[in-house]
Amino acid sequence: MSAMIAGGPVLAVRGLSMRFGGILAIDNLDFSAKTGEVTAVIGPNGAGKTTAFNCVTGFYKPTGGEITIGDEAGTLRIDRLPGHKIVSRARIARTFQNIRLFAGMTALENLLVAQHQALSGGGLLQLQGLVGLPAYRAAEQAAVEKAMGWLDRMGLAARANDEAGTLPYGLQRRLEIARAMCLDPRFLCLDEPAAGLNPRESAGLGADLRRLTEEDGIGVLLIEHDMSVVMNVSDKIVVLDYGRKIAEGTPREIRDNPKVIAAYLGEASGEAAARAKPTERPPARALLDIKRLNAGYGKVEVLHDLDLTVNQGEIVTLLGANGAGKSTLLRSLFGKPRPSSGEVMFGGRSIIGLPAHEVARLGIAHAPEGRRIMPKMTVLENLQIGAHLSDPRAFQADADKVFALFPRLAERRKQRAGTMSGGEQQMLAIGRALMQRPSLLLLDEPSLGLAPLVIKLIFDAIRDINETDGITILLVEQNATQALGIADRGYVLQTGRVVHAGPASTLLDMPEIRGAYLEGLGAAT
Amino acid sequence: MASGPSLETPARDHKALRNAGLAALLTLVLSIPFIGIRLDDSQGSNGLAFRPQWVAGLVVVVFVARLVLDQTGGLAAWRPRFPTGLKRGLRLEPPVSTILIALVLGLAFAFPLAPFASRYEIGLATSFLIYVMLGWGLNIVVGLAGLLDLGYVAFYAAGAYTFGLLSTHFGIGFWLALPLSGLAAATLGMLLGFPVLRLRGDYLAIVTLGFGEIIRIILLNWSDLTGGPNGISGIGRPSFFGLPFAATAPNGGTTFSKLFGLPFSPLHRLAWLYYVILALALLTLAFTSRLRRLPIGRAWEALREDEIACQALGLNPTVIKLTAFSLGAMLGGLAGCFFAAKQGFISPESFTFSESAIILAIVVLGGMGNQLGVVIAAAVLVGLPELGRSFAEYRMLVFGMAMVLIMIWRPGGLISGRSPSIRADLSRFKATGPEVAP
Repeated sequence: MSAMIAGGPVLAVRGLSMRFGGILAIDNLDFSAKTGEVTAVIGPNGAGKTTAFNCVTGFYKPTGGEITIGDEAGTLRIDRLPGHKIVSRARIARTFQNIRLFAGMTALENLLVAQHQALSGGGLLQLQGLVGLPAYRAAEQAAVEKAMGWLDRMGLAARANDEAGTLPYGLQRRLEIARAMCLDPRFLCLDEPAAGLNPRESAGLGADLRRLTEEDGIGVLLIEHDMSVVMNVSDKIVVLDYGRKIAEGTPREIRDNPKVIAAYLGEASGEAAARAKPTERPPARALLDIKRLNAGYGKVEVLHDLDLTVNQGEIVTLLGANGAGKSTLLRSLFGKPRPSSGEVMFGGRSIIGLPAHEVARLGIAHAPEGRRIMPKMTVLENLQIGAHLSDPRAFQADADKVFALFPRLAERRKQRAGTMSGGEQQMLAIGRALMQRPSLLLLDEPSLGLAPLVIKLIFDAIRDINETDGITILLVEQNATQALGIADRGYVLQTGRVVHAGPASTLLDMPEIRGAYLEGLGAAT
Repeated sequence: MASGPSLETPARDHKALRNAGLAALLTLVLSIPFIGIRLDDSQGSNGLAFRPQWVAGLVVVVFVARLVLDQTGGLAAWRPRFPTGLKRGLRLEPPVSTILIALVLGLAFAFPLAPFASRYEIGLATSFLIYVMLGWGLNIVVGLAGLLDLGYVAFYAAGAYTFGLLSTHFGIGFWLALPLSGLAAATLGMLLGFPVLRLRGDYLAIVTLGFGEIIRIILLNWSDLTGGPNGISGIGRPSFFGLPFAATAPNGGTTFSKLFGLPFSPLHRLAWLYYVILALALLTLAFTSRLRRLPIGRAWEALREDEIACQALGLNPTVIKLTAFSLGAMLGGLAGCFFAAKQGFISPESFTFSESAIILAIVVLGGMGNQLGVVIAAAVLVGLPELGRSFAEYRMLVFGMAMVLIMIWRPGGLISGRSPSIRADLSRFKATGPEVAP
């Protein structure tokens, strides 16, 4: 792991094109990346960033152009290698946007799978292992040492024997990086590593990435929407829009580039918070009233004596680190997990113990984390699914309302939902929930993995839903500034307990909240 | 659970009544043709006899049972208590586990010598061990690699027919034929593997189901080679290191009983067969548990968890799936070879889909990927129909109900949960390990 000097291997993409059917996802793209540097690829959702990554890491065969990795020894055409050889020959490793760990295996096992080639020695070493020869045991010992080294460095050593799927979200992201590093890569491609992390975790991630490039001499390619990370760690930024490169340069150059601002950054992203907050409403009656709620999975208690109220017509936001219990709280309203004690009143009646479909029928709709749309069905079909509880005669009017809210969906009503960009899928998830004609809408991290401009669009829509249709909203967010910007009140959860509660403006000004959840956001602008 | 406000209670009762009423109605509709009407031929002529009291009785029973279930939270709430150790994969500490293993092995070895072990008991134990071995073999494919194989019996058949043909045509003995049968089945596994392994989930299951049937139909119709429906008879029986089990040796040699000075008993041969399958099963156990701790075993499990991530780590999914398929097939072939030797006669009858289904049920019921689970499930699936003999005609009904109940109470299999293939020594890290702030 000796640090490589500048002038080491260069990853070069020349004239890259990728066509899916009639859609040109990437059009004549050129860029290069060096070891020892962080090269960020940014752009709106659907700009072709992940497609470019998939070409570089061999998951797609590009329809045109070439990808090479070159050093003193010569150049290697990556796009001509079979997928599984990219790791061993070109030494390019990657992580995934929606974490792909071996969830049922321990953290250590995940890292050992990454060292499969070294440990199996073309099968011969394994045969020795089968009969218990010392050569294999020595190799295994070395592999475990290496794995534990990386786990230790990513702060995961104490969790080595825990199943990967049981780790908190932030640690899973780190574990995926550790696993990729066990491949001894020259280049590491990270697809939205900060998605779903809070600002403090993101800052930690940024420091880790700098260390990888500076100490280990690795080239990092980074797709990321979190501008605080991108601007702080990148040496070079490549901006894509509609599959084309619209800009390339240092963070400073990119930040001031008018083309990038128009296509991607939008207005300065701290601005939402500064916007006029909704006027104080007269105190209304509680629509959702949770008292001393306890819930958990099996023996693990996640929520402890939690009190929370959402009044009629309010937007209430629920903040907190990953694993604080925010999503669990939303799910427990539907009885999954079933609360072990406490009281949940909705519109004046207890909903504890009601089956999920009856809770939905009472008027609570849930747009879950990760969207959970039906990918193989069209936009319109997805909306029909959402509407199956409401009056069929109202369907057209309701669908038109959703289309008015999100005109992008109207253009795509016949398109399969799974082929849309992340932002459009999020719009559909919200639209589907609205088709249920809810009186309370639960939104779980609607901004996850979205570009700043799209986030703004989504948040405007949320405010619109609340103001014009009078739908009460309970919003779970990592993006605290944005969420508090539109919310009336907020709650901050920590390890299943409410630690702060109050009007959104008060929370925004509280130093301890700025420290924990808002820190680093200022760097984005 | 916190009890709701009192005004909710009538609504709940009302609903329970409605549910019970629906169940009773369903029973009424179903039971009139099946139970209410009976073909009566007592007076020499056929007539219909009506039994309204039976139907009424059944309807009342279902109505009450449904009400009771509603009040007590359903069948799932009644779950019997299982030892908690079974939940997280059985892990016993060394002194206890060593004693336990020694005890089980001792019992297994002593079993044929026990006074109560007659022909029936030894035969039952032998077929139990065959299923255990088949279960461990299929466990590689289904439990570890996560490839749903509904045609596993094809490899079992391949092993059996390999030995049958080698024995009747070339007079090759059991011990030489054993590795050859394994090889033949493994080759067949590879051949099947190449075209189908791009498929996933349901599609793979359908194709393997078809494959199993194709093999059976070939065996049935290729009469010149396989003897068609008549099968192959006169397959050589395993000898005790060259000594036959017989009253008199064919050409004046010694027999097993003569050498040891025992009176001849057909039980000797059965006991020997039992020891052979016990040894084969233990070998399979050692083989598969070793494999699980090797890179290939972890690669199988990784493939089950996420194929795309495997590709990103430079693993070649085709090779990994093929090894799982062929090694699983090989173990099936070995078991098949033993089966042919035990029976002395094989025919396509023994290799029907229901056989595949039973082996798969053993793996699923035991808890996917769990070795001990397979043993318990095999005991349940082989033993239950036997215990049920006293229920005579209701035997399969009891068997089916037991399966349903097990799946309700233990949806993850009898022993769910997985023990890691390797454990890190954390003593170095626990103290200094940097905790990541939440």
